[in-house]
Amino acid sequence: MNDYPAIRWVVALKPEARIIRKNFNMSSSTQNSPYPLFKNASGQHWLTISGVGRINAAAATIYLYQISKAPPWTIWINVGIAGSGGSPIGSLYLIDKITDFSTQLSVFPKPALSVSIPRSSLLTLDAPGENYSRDQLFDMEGYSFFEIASKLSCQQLILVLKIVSDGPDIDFRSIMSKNVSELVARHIEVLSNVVDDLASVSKIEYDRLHIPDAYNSIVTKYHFTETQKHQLKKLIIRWRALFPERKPVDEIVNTNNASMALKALRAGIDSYKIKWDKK
Amino acid sequence: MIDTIYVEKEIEEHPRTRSILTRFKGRREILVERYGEVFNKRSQNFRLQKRNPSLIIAKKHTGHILSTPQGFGIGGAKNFYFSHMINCVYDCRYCFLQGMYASANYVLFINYEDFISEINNLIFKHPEDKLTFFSGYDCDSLALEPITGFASFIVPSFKEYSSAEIEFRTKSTQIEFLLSIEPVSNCIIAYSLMPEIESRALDHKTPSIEKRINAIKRLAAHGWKIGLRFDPLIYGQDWEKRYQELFDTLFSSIPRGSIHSISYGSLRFPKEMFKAVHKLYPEEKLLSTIFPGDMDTVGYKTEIEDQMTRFCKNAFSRIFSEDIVFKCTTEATAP
Ligand code: SF4
Repeated sequence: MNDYPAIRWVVALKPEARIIRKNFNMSSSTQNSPYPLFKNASGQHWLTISGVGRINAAAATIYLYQISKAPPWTIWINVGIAGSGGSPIGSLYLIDKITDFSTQLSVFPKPALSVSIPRSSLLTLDAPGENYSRDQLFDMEGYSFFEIASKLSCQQLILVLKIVSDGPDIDFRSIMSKNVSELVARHIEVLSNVVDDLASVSKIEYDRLHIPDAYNSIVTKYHFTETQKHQLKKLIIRWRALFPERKPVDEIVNTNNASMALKALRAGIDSYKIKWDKK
Repeated sequence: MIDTIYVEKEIEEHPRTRSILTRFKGRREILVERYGEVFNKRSQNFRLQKRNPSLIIAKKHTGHILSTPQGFGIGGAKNFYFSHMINCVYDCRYCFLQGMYASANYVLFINYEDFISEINNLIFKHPEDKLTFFSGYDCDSLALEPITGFASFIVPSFKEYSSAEIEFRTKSTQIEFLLSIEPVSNCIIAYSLMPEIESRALDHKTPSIEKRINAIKRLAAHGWKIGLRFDPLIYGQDWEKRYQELFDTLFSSIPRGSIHSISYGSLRFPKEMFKAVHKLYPEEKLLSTIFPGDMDTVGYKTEIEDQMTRFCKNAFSRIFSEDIVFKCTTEATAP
């Protein structure tokens, strides 16, 4: 089951990517891609480096979605550095409100996470800002990333994590690449826990949404029309719920064609009576 | 544990908002313009969100009180429903809310006064009719009572409305406030019930049937009128035996005079709603044993439905007069 778990990372800067790539064993994937691309051997983790800014973040997220064929149960993670007027440098935050500076529209990420991480609001700017406020962080990608990722997966599987890198006393222009990597490295264990935690949640989505193997083994046995394929899928989903221990393919051994196979499955389902005390 | 509370800016300083916020220690409060920003967004996932729902405190602007669908009632000439909340702390697998909303967050409307004033208007508009109001159509009407205080706000008003009745439908045992006041004669506390074994499999996070029956007994002893709701009826092996046992337990332990009404109804979803619920819980056995019927609904096959409703009708008619027994024929299964 190589398409589970499916984790897609979008980061803005190379030094942010370095530690994540190393930790999850990702290596460079293609040469001529618009955004640098990395993946691990199993193809479960993919990462792209978007570069700075809203448009880059949106485009890179869509690119990663397409190139990695991200399924609907994918976990999407944006990790990056952010400015803050009040939080200590190096603090990690889970973002739960992102406001787009130019439109003043807000989105409200709330991943189904049980790992506890301090939370903060984020303001996504069009250009680097120096008016640090105390009650929210600043970046240049978060809003667009979340907006696009929400169209590709469900919001409960999307995370925006920010690490404070600059503030009134540290100019963002002075941050060295090495410092950024160090900041991410400090939290790599939390990132691993977050991935494990969300992977178990995304398993629910995987179980719910992936096409059952039984479908593929039956649909190649006979010629099914499009309507019959649709009916078969529905019957197999019901079958799996009612008879988890019985393989649908074994139920159609005495059939010769698609409609007989559908009939056999339907008959089994129709005659089923739930034993509530055994459930 | 609710760890996040979204608050509409407009009612941020409302005394009820402030008081509710103080009940949740350590929660994060996030201001929103309108509750729609965090509720029912297309890319939210009801099932995953149900693992840790947030509370949204909002103001309801329109549609406080609505007419019930056809076939829903307990003898009133006109029936209305309202909900001070959307969504429920419980998680029943047949609940229509799963198919109705993309979000499992709880929305609490705190402008209770507007509900009362619309009830007033309706009573004034229909002076000749007996009106019935159903509280908690989109939620359980009592489950969060210690926090919302909605029922304690609304019940006393009904003392003055002799031509109207109000029903609080619930599976909750949060009844302390009802036991602390004088019963109101036109107020019905209605419990949703099914045999314990079926309930254990389907009514997640709810009080057990035994606890519900104990709550009913206490309420009846205190003088409240009780509604018994067997809706949806759940089919399966030995269903007759188990329903009969449930009826026997109930009817032998609740004084007849306390029972205001009994209603029952088959499990039935509108087709589109069923699709959404089944897609959310494809592994749920119950949902795999009901099928599209001829009325744009999904439910048990007609012969099963008939068998079950006939059984209930007979069981009730042996004990109760016909005029307090109602068959519910609406499509979606109410809480
Ligand atoms: S059926 Fe009623 S009690 Fe159960 S989850 Fe739905 S609203 Fe709550």
